[in-house]
Amino acid sequence: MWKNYDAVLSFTYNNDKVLAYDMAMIGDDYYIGGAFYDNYGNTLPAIFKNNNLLHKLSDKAGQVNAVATNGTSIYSCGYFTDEINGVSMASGCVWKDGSVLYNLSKDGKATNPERILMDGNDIYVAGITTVDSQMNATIWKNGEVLHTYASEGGISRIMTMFTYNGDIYAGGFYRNKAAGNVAVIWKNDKVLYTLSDLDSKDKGSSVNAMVIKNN
Amino acid sequence: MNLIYNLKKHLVFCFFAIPVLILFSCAKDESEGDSVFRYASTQTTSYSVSEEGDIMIFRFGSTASWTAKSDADWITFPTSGDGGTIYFKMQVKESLSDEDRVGIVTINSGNDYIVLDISQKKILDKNNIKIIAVGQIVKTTDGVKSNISALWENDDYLRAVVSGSTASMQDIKYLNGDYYIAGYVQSNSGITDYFWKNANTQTQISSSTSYCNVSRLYCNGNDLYAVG
Repeated sequence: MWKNYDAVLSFTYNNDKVLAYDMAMIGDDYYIGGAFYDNYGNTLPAIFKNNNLLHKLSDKAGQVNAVATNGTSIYSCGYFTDEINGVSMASGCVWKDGSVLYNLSKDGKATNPERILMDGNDIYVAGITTVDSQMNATIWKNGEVLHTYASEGGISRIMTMFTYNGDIYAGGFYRNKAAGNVAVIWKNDKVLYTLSDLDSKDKGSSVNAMVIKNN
Repeated sequence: MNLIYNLKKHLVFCFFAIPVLILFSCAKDESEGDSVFRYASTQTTSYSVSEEGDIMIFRFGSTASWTAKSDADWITFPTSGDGGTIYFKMQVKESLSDEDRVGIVTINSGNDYIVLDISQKKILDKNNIKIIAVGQIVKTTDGVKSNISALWENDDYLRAVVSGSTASMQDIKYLNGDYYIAGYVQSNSGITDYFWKNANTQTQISSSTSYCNVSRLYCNGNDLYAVG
């Protein structure tokens, strides 16, 4: 972890590396979401407080993808591998302080939430729902599906999102049969901007992060 | 971790913020003076709040009753309280001003005081915002495909953040009027992580042999953090 260009925190767990994907702070404590390796080489979803394991969120393989805080609690999202209808697949979760708050695969679909944000008392999560080999970008609000972005190419993915003025904006890509992955920004349930040249021979682009500012 | 340890040692107040803003204060050591306030401060500390407003909980200790006042009607807070450990809740409203603004909150008990200096950016024009996005696009040169870093403003591609290299921009954050991008550049020797300030000034934060990929940025007060 870096602070103002300087590496300030580096640690391992179980004599192996820790995968760190996101962080939040309460006071001067760091809460780092990611995974550590168990003795069988599986990555287990976990929250670390500073350089110590705070919550092991599952005994099954998975990871924490994102972390947020309301100032008193730590919210995180990610997945663990579970048997759903007899098939091993990713079971998406939102955890609050180490306990499951929302099970996003409660309807039997494989899910993998990758981003989380707090807006007042609402918790927004963005990730993927997989159905019949179609991977659809999905936004959940307080554990319920808010928007799903299907694509003709069968894959869409949200890499970033923010709320502003009552709207939710999401950035990522969708698969176009001709143009490959197309970088896109959605506003609520519709495409706001398509950022790739759909006629280009170069296939593949994505929005990874975004911010807003005044014109 | 020495830096973190020293921060812990000298931090006077613990600030909590909703959703993510955490504030820090500098102050005198506990052993100095006979202040009513535990870890009393006579220093003014400045904080930045986004134009959208925020809720902050400022914890301090007091051995006597106290009062609080401000010259800013856009900050709400309790105006008095008894001694003990105080969780002083301040709510900064969304900015309706077309100018940046500063408000001062003063907490008094006898001759002792704590000063909080809170600045807030001017209102965003809700009908006239732009989205700055980063990511990557694929380019084919001489038959070889590579990832090129990309910077967009709304639906306009502006340029590559890093020209001539295989690179991917992972996150972008605004902090005190500047935007910072974190990402990595791939070369024959490995992957190297960087920050870019305003998509220009480049600062290397890892070596190509560290096997580290920066993934996310996080702002806390006036500090920029990255994890990977």
